[in-house]
Parts: sequence; C-alpha cells; structure tokens
Amino acid sequence: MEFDVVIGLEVHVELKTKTKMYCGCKNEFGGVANSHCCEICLGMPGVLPNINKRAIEYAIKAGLAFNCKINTSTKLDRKNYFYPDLAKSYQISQKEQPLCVGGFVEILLDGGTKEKRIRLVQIHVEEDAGKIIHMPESDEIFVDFNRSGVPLIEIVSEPDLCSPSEVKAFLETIRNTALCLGISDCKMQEGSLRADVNISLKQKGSSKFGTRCEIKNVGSINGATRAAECEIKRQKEVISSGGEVEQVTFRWDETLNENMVMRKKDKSVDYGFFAEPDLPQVEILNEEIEEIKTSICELPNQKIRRLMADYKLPYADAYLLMEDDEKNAMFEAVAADFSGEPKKVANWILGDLTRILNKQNISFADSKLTAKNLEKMLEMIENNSISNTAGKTIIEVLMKQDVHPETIAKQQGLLQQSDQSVLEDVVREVLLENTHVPELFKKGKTNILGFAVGECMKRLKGSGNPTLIKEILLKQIQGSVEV
Amino acid sequence: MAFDVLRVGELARFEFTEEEVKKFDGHIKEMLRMISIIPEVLETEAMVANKVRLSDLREDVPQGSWDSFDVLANAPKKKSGFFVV
Amino acid sequence: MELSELTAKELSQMLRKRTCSASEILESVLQQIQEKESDIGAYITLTEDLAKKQAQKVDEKLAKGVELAELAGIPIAVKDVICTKGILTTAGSKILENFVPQYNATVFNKVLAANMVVVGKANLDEFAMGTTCESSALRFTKNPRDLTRVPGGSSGGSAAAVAGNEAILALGSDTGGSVRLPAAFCGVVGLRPTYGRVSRYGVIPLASSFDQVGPMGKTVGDVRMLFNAIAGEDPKDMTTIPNKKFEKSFDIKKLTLGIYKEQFNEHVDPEISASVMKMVESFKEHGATIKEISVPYSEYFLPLYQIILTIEAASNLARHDGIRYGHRTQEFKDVEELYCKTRSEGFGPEPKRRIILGTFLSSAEFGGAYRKKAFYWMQKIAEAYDNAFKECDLLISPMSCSHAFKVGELVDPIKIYALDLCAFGASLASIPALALPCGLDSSNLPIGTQIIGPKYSEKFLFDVGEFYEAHCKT
Repeated sequence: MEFDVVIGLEVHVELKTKTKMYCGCKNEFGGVANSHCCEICLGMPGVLPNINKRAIEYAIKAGLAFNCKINTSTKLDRKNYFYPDLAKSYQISQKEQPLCVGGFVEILLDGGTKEKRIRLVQIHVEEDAGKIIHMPESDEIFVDFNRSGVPLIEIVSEPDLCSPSEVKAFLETIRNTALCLGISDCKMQEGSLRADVNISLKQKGSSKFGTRCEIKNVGSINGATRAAECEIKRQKEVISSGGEVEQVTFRWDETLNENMVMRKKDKSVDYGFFAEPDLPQVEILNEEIEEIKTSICELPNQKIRRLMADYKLPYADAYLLMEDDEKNAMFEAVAADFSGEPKKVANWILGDLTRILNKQNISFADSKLTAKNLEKMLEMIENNSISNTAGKTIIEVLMKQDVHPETIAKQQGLLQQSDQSVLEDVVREVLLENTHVPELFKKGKTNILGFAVGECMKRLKGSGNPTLIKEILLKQIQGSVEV
Repeated sequence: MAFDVLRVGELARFEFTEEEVKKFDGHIKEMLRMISIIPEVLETEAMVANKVRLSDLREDVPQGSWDSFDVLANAPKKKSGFFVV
Repeated sequence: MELSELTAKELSQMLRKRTCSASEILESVLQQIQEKESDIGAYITLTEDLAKKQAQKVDEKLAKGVELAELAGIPIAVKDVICTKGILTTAGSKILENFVPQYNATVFNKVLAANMVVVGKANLDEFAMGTTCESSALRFTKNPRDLTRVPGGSSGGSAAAVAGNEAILALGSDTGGSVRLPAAFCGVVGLRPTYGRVSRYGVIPLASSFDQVGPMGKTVGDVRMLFNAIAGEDPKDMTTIPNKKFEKSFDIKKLTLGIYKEQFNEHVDPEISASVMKMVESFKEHGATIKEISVPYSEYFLPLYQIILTIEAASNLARHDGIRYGHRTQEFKDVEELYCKTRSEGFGPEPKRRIILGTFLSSAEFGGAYRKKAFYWMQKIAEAYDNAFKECDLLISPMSCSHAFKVGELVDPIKIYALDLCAFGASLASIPALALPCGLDSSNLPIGTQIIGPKYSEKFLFDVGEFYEAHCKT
C-alpha cells in the first residue's frame, strides 16, 4: 500500500511587544515567578481586557509578509476550557473574523533549488497561558502566571505539507521571517515559537483523508521534524498490520525522542466559542495597513534566492548571510566593488571573520573592520600581492584598526614577492642545490614540488608568491625555453 | 439537542447528587422549552456592541504590575512564589 | 427628623452650610444600623472604621474651606459585586467568602474620589442571580417596609439599606432588573443606565452584555447626583461609551408619554396598574400627551435574556477554580477533582442552574447557534424601541407585576425569573430605565413604576422623575 503523507501545522509565535496582550504587565521571559502579573492577567473577579495596539500591528505585519488578506474589521472570541495555567478559564482568541485570512508561505527545499507554496488558513491573535511546573517528588503542580496574557499569533496552515523536511523548512521560514520582521525574538528555548503538528496518511489515489493525530506544543524545529517522522512511521505500521488509526493527541518528549500519548479522543473538550462581549470590534484603515507594509524588509527566502541568483552563492552560504544582517551588509558592500568571485568574499566573512568574532567573543558591531578595508585586502590576494595565509593575519589587525591593509602587509613583511626575475633567480638557486628535485619529479613523484616551493619560500623569508614559484619551478624543471 | 445533566455538569466541572440531577433536569428542560419559541433566522450575524479604531488602542507602555506578594495574597495554596495545585 | 432620614441633596446642602457634620450624618446612619440591621440584614460587611475616618477627613477639609464634590460626606452602601481594595468582596457566594481584592472597581475609585463615606458591602443574590435576594449564600435580607417580605433582587441589600436609612445612597447592579425591581419593592429610586455609560471594570460580572452599575437613592434628585458622580468613559473598560447629548429637553407641555401596552397585562396586579395609571393621569393634567404604544417581541424577552445571560455567566464564572483565590476544597486526588469539588461546594443552586444551561447552550456538542440568534433578535428589539420612541418621548410601565413577596413564597425558578418581565426590554435594547415609587397599595407596600427612555436620555428621565416628585406625587 502506498500512502500520501498529509501534514498541517499550527504555529504559535510569541510577539515581542513590551506589554501583554490585554494588560500593561511586562512581556519578559524569566524573572521571579509571578512578578509580571496584575489582576487582569491573573483572571481576578471583575477585570476586563484592554487590547495592545502594537500586538495587532505586529500581527498585521506577519499577515502581510505571508500574503494574507487583512480583515479591516476583526473581532475576538472566547475559547472556553479548564486548565490550571489558564487564568480566566477561557482564552481570548479569534474564530470567526480573524485578523488575517488565507495567504501562503513559500518554502525552499532541496538546497534552495526547489520552491513550494504552503497555503495558510489564517493568522489570528491570541494570548498565552501561564506556565505549569510539575514537581518530581510530589503530585503537586506549581503555576507561574508571568507568561499569562503574552501576545501570540497563531499561524494555521492548510494540510499542504508532505514530509518532515517540509515541516522543517516551513518552521524555519516562519522563524526567519518573524525575526526579519522584528515581531518576535523566536527564542525557541524560551518558548517563543511552538508548533502543533497534525498528521494523517491518505491512501494514494484515494480522496478520503485518514484519521488525523496531533502532536501538541513542540518547542523546537528539530523536535517537530523528528516528531513528524516518528508519527508517520507509527501510522504506517498500524495500517500495514491491518489496523485502523485512532485519533490520538501526543506531546513530543525531547529527552526520550518520542511522542507520548496525552489523550485519546477527548470527551471533555468543547470550547463553546462565542464572541467576546468585553471587547469591541477592531476597525483597521487601509492606510494603516499600507503604512505597516512599507515597514517590511526584504523577506528571508526572497533574500536567499536573490543572493543565490545574483552572487552565485550556494544555498548554505546564502542562508547564513540571510540570518545575519550585519554580515550580509558587509558582504554586499564588498562584493559590489570586488573584482573577483563573490564566493570568495562570502568565504572570508562566513569563515575567518566569524571564527575570529567567536574566538574573541565580540560582536560584529564591536570590530573595526570596514567593508572598504576588507575589499582592499581581498583585491591584494586576488592579484597575488599577498598570500591567503597573510590575509588571515592581516584581517585580525583590520578588526582592531581602520588602516589600509597594504600598510599592515608592509609593516609585517607580508608583501608577496611577485617580481618574475627575482623569483626565477631563487628557483634556479634552489634547483641547483637540490638536484634530487628534478630527478624525482621526472620519475613521477610530483609532490616533491611542494618541498621545492617550501625551500624557495624560506629563501624569500616567506614572502614569495607560491603560485608563481610553482609555475617557474615547473618551467625550469621541464626545461621549457622562454620565447 | 438532547440535554444530559451529567455530561454538561462534566463540561462545567460540577459533581451532582442524584437529587440535584433530577431537580436541574426538570428546570433546564422547562427553560429549553421556553427558549424553543424563538424563531429561527437565516442570517445570524452576531451584533457587536461597539467598534474601536486601531489607532485608539492601548499604547505598548508597561504599567500596573503587582509585587508577587500581592499576586499570591489570595492564593489558597502557595509555595516559593508559585500557586500550588 | 433624623439625619439618616434625609436625602443626599438635603444633607449636602447642610454640610455646606455647616449645620451638621459628616461625622454626625454617619453617626445617625450607624445608629439605624445598630437598631435595625439584625432585622434587615442589608450588609455582608460593615466598614465602620473606614467610614469614620472618611467622615472625619471630610469634616477637616470642610473646616479648612476646601471645595469638595457635592456628594462628599454622604454615606453609601456598595453592592458586594463591586471590588473594593482591602475590603471583603464576596458576590454573596461561599466561593468568594474569603476574597479580599487587591484592586478597586473604577466606580469605587469614583466613590472614594468624591469623598463619599463607605458604610459597607451590601447583600445580594449570589453572583447577582435572582430577583428576591433569597439566593445569597451569606446573608438574609428582609424588606424594611415589611420584615416578613423580600426586598427584591439581586441588589436587595442596596435597596434595603437605603429604604431602612442604613445608608443615604447605594450602588447596585442591574443586568435584567436587579436595581429596578428591588427599588420598586423597597420604595426607593433606582436607575439602569444606558449600557456603557458606567464602567464595569472591577464589577464581578453576570452577563457582560447587560451588566450596568446602577445608582440608588431615596429621591430622583439623589440618584441623579450619584449617576453624575459615577458615569463616564473608562479606558480600562472597552465597552464604555462617551456621553452623547440627548437633544430633547424636558417640558411637561411638550412631553408625550407612551403607555407600554404589553407591560400592562393580565399578570399585573390591578392595584399596581391603577397606581401607575394615576401617575400617568397626573402627567396628563399638567399638559403631557398620553399615547398607548406597543413594542413587539415581548414574548421573546425572557428566553432571549436567558440565552445570552447564561452563556456569558457560565463563561464568566469558570475562573472560580480554587487556584488563584476563593474557596478551595480540602481533599482532592487530581486537578479535575479539585475543580469539581471546589465548584460544587462553592456555588449555590442558582449559579449552578444557570451555568449548566449556559454551558449547554454554548457547547458545540449540543449544537445550535443560540447566542448569535439571540443577538439578532436583540438588534430587532433595539429597533422596536427606536420605533416606539418616534411616537413618544418615554415609555411608562409598572416595574413589577406584584408587590414584594413574602419570604419563601416563590420557589419555582421560572416564576422567580418572571418577576423581571418588565425589566428585560431595557436590558436587551441597551437603553436606560428609571424605577421610582408611585404610591402604596392596600397592604401598605410600595408600588414601583418604570420610565424607559432612548439611549443617553438619563438626564431627561431624571427631569421627568423630579417633576413627578415635585408636582404629582400624593
């Protein structure tokens, strides 16, 4: 039996507003338990919610980035259920008239060579619940309401995803986009991005969808990917052994690396949705939507595709540059003037520069490296004035001082000798003193050249251009006559 | 539309005595009969009391948080700064 | 005459003339409480110490010549759904019997800002659900006019406090008559404001779409003063609305009074109808035009009201789970048992009944778009009243079908709900209504009448009511 895998995702993204969705408490991770709370987010008797403007604006921004239609008239609804971390015993969410409708997320697959469009059902605003901590020694559960009321957007996809790798690409796109838009810090270890993964298997050729199982609240992209893999495998096994998939809700266990059953088809959940009577309908003007649109930067996948196309960079490099605005800005500034291949610029920035920043534990902004100086250094390597190795030394200095790389090269004696006649003389000397070299080379031991180059470099005190030296050695060994 | 006291009680987190079940069952059925006289309508757009403009919503400025002592002041059970269940 | 028997207006003038002090006024009220409270039982919590301090402060300020609000120094009872920081707030329920809020309701902040003197938290039907005040889990209130009878509900304690001179003013709350009915039964004045004119922030909710805090007092003039002190938009309550000027101004000769046809029906006690009609006649004698006006859909009022109320109340009361505040059951083996036992122990039968109905009506499992349907009809009813107000300036009706019942007389819940039949219309249409006394019946019990006006017509209602008190009342 052959199956189509059908996956839909519901992604919750915490918005990084300064205050909560419905009250003025600080929206901040960590801190002493129950220290960012007030009567509103604690669900005390008689309190009323008060909508945070910035949260709505951020949600509209997300909707625009994901090609949704923004509802100019949107309303909130109550989703009623009992849980210790849910202060009011209902969550203010949206069901009927959500803020953003439709839309799609374009994901990149297969090393950036393939694009797929994943349709969205909607994006709506809601509020987070508090946090529950289970005490290992006893049956007690501890509740902290700092997170209660933090604004969330829920991004609901159509069941267009077909594999765990698509799940990964989708979640990465959501995360990168949210970061790029500046609406969330997407710190998964702080719970800013969580996914519910819905999976069913459909028999190939059939139009009937299989029973859907859900893995709730997965807090990492890798977790979601692996959870999907496990569940697909499980469902396939159930069907292959002649059984029927029952509706089950799981939670992903990060340490055990498996899906744990939370509940079978739950009898007790009935959300009893109705329009929130304590809140008015929010009216949004088209001009306001347009203004938010103008604040949207180049989106991550757009940037990746552009870097790959315009600079012929591989997907991996483009992805890393996309993730770091400062490095990307330097890359594009240097590449604009550099005569050589942009890939070389990328290598230096993603390689040595990154390595040095990490080693010295400094930020990009803290280093003194300018695009101009880096570009000049790369040109010097390109035209053989200095070697690649010399460049590694020079770049460390450039990160501490704004000075012309040629000055540094001169000071440290790193300028490569490229004068043809000087090199020819040195090569002739070395070959005379090491007659075994041409003998061994002619016998086929070509790697003796490396030794010879080394000897030449010694005489030049390391300042010879190794490429040229090698060329001259070859000429002299093979006894070619200059014309 | 079959009303079931026990099932609804479950949803509302109540436990009932047999006496209560009988009593409520009767009362609720009477009220449902009363409610059934309201005619059906084709369009059921919910009426929203009022509207607010995006520009008039609350500014994102922190204020109003309590000291955790106050937060826990009414807690039936608390430990180390947490509500305990 | 005792100070406690005077009106807020009179006392306010006396305070300004320095012919009495705030402490003396309070003393007179406290004296009444000492003598009568064990019979009347209007209060759940008395705040004598606070009141004395407040009265003293008012006297000090007046002595220094500081300009104070017109209600400064006036003793007020506050219905125990209104959250008061540091003062027990129970909603008349066991589930909150130990709850001391760390915050004030906006209306209470206004009471404090006006330097009123807070006598205590008034009794009510549990979570404001009821029409007789017999559903309170904590206190038993009786009608000061006849201690064998109920004061009406749910703001029974507030009405009784005013009627018994245990306070000069009171704040109640009106969802579907909860200010107006007890006002009628106790012979005092009570207003249900236009929905949104008074903040609900910090007021323990029953039905979010209907609740309004209502001022209560001995005269229309007193209620007007209290309304002016508490009304206004509140940034903390997004359902409050700015005031709109009501274009009509009161002139008895230009007044068209509509006799609310559907509310003068066979269920209404003939003595009550006669008393209300007498009031109507007296307006006519002064030059007003009288018309009979029909407002359709009355037969849907009670069921529609029940649908919206129970759905919203069930949701509003779900937060009482024993985790963050309030009653908590002693022993339980898991969270589910904590919820079920806490809530079953803490809520009385009336909240349970309404929560069950509301849970049923809103659950997807049991189908039906009840609430949406109800809102559709609410819209239609608002339109029906709009049309009525094209034909008349105000509608007049009896406030209830009968006078105050004897304690324990009404047991059938449906009959208890039906007491509010005259009240539902204004709630459903979000319009204001004033309940005021228009005489006594042969049992010497108060008869209440109701004047209903269009949105934002509170001032107009007060003018009509004061005119009646000054010129027509016998």
